[in-house]
Amino acid sequence: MAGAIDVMRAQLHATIYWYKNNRWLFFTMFLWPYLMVGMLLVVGVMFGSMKEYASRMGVSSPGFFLLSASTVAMSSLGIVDAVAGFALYNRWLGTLNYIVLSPMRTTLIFLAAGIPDSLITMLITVTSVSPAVLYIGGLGGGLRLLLILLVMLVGMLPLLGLSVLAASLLLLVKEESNIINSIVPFMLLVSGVFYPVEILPGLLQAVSRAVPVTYVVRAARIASVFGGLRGAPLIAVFYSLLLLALAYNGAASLAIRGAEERVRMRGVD
Amino acid sequence: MAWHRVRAIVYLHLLRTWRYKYSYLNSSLNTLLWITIFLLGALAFVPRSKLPETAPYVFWGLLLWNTISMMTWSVAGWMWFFISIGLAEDHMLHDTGIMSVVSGRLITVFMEVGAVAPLLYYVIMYSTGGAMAVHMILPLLYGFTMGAVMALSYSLILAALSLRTGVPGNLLDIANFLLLIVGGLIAPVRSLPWGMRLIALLVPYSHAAEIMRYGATGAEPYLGVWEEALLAGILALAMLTAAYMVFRVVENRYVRRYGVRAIGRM
Repeated sequence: MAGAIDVMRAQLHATIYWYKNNRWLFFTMFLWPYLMVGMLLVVGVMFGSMKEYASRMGVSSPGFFLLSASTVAMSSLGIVDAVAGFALYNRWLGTLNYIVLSPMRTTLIFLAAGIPDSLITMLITVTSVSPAVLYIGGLGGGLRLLLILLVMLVGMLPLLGLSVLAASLLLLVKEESNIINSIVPFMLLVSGVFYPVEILPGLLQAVSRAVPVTYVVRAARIASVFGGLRGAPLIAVFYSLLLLALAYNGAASLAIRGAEERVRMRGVD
Repeated sequence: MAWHRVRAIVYLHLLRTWRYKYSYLNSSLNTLLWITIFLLGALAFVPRSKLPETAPYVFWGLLLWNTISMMTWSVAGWMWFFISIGLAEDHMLHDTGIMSVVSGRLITVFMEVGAVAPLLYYVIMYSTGGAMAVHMILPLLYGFTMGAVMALSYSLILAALSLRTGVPGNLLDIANFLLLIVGGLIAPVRSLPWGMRLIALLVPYSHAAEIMRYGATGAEPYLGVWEEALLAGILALAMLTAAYMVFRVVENRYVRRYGVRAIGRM
């Protein structure tokens, strides 16, 4: 019987060949973080100043923070899309029923299929911003970016669980598009990806504590204060992400089991 | 195109919006959230004392930009779905052009933007202390509509290219972000530096945005109200004609001969 490793390997091959056949798409992936940062910078500077932004965010290098925040945003989009998009696209193609009927657990297939795309998106975005980061922060900036990559990798664990939860909902509803893809902008909104989370209403601030991206953005903010890295808040970030990973993956495992049973009874639309 | 076909296409998209109501709600929510994220990000650069006068410019600019972006996804991106489930060939066999069907996505986009824009405007103006009332509603709506028609035309061209290349049209689009930066969408053309002002004047969307800004805030358009309104109308019509021609060429010379690429991840 095929295992998770086989699914990951197959998905990795599919992704590599997709990029190989769509070189223009591969090239544009490197541009997105710059476009996102460029847009915010130009609009921001046109109406305000970098100094104001740095003081609001409590960072010493707003450029570095914006680059790392856009990396976090792009990677989060990539992770949720890799898992939930996999379910949706197979439904379009009419292959979802074979996936649900295969002997392997559907949760495991979704997770395993999502990992290569998630990792590739993450690596592409980090690689794409690294020249600018090295220019802004030198070697120290590069090392801080690697630290953010490490936090993103840990942050991927709860995000994958959350994405499987989303995919299980997609199995149950008969819709043409990913009806829960607003989950990503919602996570980015409450995590304060480009602005201080303190400006949000109290309720959203409370919700932000349960969102994995909040902790990755927090790590990016800590890393954007040049001159000395605070260890204790970073360790707290790692612990929070691991706790959320346990919670979301546990919930996802239960949710997808229920969805899988219902889909097997009813069939895939 | 026969009138009954237009009615059928309008009916199709209204019915689809009703049947896929969760997708519609999700998409409206998506619009609301992305505009809020970029708005709050941009306003984080602005001193608190300047927020009331800055917020309307940033809001309307981002709204138009987001509509352009949504159009790309809803038209060029939807082609992927349209082709994947085999609808392209089916429509062609029934003598209905792909372009006509896909153009109907304009209705969906208008419904999505219309559902969230007033609410978001109210919340943003309330929280930043900006003026609630707009200067003149007609120029605002005219500018917005012309911008949307230009966006539809651009998306149709991308969709036509996706039929030829097999790459989803929305993924071909990296120009959206550049538009906001140098296309005169977010700030009045008058306030842009000299070089950027020249580029903005060459970008069709800037003329629609100038009229829209005039309607929203009363800011005088760079070339004058009537001149900008006329230019926006002419450019929208020219872009629509260009999109029609590109689509016809791709459909007749390529798709009818070789078919569409719809297997796998395209």
